[in-house]
Amino acid sequence: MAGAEPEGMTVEVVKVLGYLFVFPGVVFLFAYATFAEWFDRKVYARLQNRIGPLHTGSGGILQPVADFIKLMSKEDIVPAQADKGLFNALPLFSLASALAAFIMIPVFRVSLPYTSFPGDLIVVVYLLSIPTIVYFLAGWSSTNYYAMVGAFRNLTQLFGYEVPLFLALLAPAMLAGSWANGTWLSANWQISEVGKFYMAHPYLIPVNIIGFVVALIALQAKLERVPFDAPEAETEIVAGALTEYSGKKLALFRLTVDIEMVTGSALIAAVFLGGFVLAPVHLGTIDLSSLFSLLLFVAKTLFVIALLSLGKALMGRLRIDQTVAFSWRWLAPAALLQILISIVLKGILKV
Amino acid sequence: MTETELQARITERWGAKAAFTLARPRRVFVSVAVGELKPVMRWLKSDLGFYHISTITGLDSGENFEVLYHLHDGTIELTLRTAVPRANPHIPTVTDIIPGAILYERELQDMFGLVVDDIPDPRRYVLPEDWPQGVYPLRKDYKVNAGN
Amino acid sequence: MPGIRIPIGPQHPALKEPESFTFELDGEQVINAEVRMGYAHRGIEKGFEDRTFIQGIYLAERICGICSTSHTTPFVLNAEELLKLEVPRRAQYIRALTGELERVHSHLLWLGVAGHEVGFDSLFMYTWRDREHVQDMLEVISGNRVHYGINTIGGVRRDISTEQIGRLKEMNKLALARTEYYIRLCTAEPTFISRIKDVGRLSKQDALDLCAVGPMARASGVKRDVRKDDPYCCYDEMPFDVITADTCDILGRAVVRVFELIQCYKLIDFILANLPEGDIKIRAPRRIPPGEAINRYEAPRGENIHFMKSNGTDKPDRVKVRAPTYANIPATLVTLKNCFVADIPIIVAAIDPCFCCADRMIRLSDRKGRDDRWSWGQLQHYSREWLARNRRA
Repeated sequence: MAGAEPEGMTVEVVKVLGYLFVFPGVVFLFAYATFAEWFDRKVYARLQNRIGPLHTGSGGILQPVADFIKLMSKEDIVPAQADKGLFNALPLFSLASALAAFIMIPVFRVSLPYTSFPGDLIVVVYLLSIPTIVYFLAGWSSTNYYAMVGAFRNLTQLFGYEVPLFLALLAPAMLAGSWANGTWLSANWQISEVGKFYMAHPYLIPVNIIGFVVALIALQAKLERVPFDAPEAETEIVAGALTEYSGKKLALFRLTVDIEMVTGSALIAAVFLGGFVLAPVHLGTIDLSSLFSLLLFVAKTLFVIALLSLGKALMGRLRIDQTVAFSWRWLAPAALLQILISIVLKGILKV
Repeated sequence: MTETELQARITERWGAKAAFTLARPRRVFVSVAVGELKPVMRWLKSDLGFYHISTITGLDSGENFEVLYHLHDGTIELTLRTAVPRANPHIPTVTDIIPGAILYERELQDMFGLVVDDIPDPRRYVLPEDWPQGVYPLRKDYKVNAGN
Repeated sequence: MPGIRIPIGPQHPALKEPESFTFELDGEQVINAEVRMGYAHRGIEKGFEDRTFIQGIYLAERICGICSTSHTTPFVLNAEELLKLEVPRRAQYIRALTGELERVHSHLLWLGVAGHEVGFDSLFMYTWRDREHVQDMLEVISGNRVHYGINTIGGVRRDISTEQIGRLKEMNKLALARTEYYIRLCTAEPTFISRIKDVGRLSKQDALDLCAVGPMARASGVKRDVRKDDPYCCYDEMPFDVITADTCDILGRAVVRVFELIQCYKLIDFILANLPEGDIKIRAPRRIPPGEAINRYEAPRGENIHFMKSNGTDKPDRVKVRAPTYANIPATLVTLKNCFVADIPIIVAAIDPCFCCADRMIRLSDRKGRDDRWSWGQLQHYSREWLARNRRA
């Protein structure tokens, strides 16, 4: 961008806007998040001997879009005692942070220097924890008993899974790091670099299996899906923190959950399964690597989502105290173990 | 215990105060006056093992209200019946003997207007809060409107 | 948040039927619970007094959808006792068969609802899928999936053909295989068990004092089953065991119900193999001589008791119905003390609540505050008018 002429600047701005809003930005993400929700609902239904969405679009693929449109058109009710400013603004905050998180994940060959930088792994995890805090605030500002219970459970659950998730995501990054000064380990916190490392050394991917499992379980808790959906337990507290939300605001919250699911699976796939960025592949003069990247992205994220749906179908809901006990008794130690393995292996292999 | 043994023990203990009728195998009716209701029930529970009360039926027999306590010990169904005059429909509570009778007594109060003395919880049970006082649906003089 | 009171009900996703619980909470723990019933009270006992005995069967059936035979059977048993009728054995066996099929579908329903209450939706989907087979069989023998209408005073209204017997045997085998899967699931799935073990405790002494009935009492070690203690419909000729558990918690109630399912299949097999020949009903007079009769029935939820007083006319003088859920409510309030908020739905569901059975009056009042009771004809007329006004072209 340095010393660019006016036309160069315009092209750059258009490129950035296209990246942010069209592909792989808002439009693509909206389409893919609704597709991922359809996939999740279909897998869940088939595991329960049901059919799942069927009629909207071929095989029901447009069902989540239809649900979104329906919610957007419904009446928007704000409780009289709620803090109106906060109540109305919160859906946008959570959506914005989820979208921002996805931008940082290097999905295709086309990436901009300001979306991929050392430390972006930490930024993504941080941005992904903002929606949870927003749900807490949403429940709090609703002044409804059920919403408050859901909000408190949200935070309690956050204390449970956030640390294991963080630790588990750090382990492969540590393995992918470099020796600095020939002696000590400098972990590589850039997702694209981590992905490149594992693409170059695919035999090291199974080493992170413990971390992979921990990250999957922690992601299931972050997305508040069974067995960790105590914060929005339908049969106990109606709808948890989002009880009082309806209409457009609820549509945006649900979209945030879908985008979080895609972002979380993309993050796990990028860090544990080798990522999606390929070296240039040429067919004649056309560079097909972007197309292959897209296919790889779809395949890997759907694989992770399928595992999440399997978890949802297989188990019942845990109580909130059981969730926290499980996280600290099993998940955190397992994540620490994975980090230990990474450090030891790095020392041995000196890759 | 067989029905004949039961009859023997009841007549031995209570004599004429408890009138015993055997309707059919496993169906026994015992009639007592209101004053003897609690002592007899207490004795039935502690000595003969009639620990379970299935329900309490109220009957509107014109001049009296009859109250039937359906007890069983597992095999024999013993119905303890007593009568109170319509003008003074007071009946003592049995929840101190069998705590599980509380809901049935509340229903009696709602539906028949019987007053259960010393009932631990006298709130309305079946009828809605805005049902008018003094209107008791299961009395014979209460007619359901068959179309306004 | 010390000492706040929250209502659960009358409308709540956890409750399949309306009733109002008020809980006093301290954080996530329940300190005290109260219940307010009557939301589904329909004035049925009063309704019996205006209807003939045959019309009364129709009304008794509609006390409940899930356990409809549990109400018609003691009702007709009462009437037959007052008439001193000797009901043919084939009819009694068919009554027992319908009762056992009803018990199967009710327990499978409960298992699904319990799974749903703890968030285990897959169990819900599977058990209700299997329940469809049972409903199909009920439809084959009676023509209806609920409200079978198979009882009449003096016997049953429909006979079972040999072809139907064959199909019933097949369904029985299938259901038995599926139930064995559920037994493995209930006793092995850790998330399910962790939600129901040591939750909702009811000691044996409490169960006896508070007059709990059915699987609720049997899971606390009280060995009471009307089919064994006070047999009706030839149950004294049929071999089966009374299942009890001594864990006194919801896991015990689940185990009792699932093993009772196995006993049901055993009973159904026995009935189908030993169905006596003969008539299916005997003619009954319309007027019933004065008298009183009491009959108890083991409904899926526990002991159901009917009292009937006749006065020589063709309408009963008084019919008293006490359904099992009603009897379990004081016990439920005790089990709800000192539990977590998260456990409330499963504890309430553990008595297998059928509040329609337990309530028996709906009062309509329009916005001007007038109280009107509408007859069925008026309601129909009103609904047709409303639809005509609000129909979109």
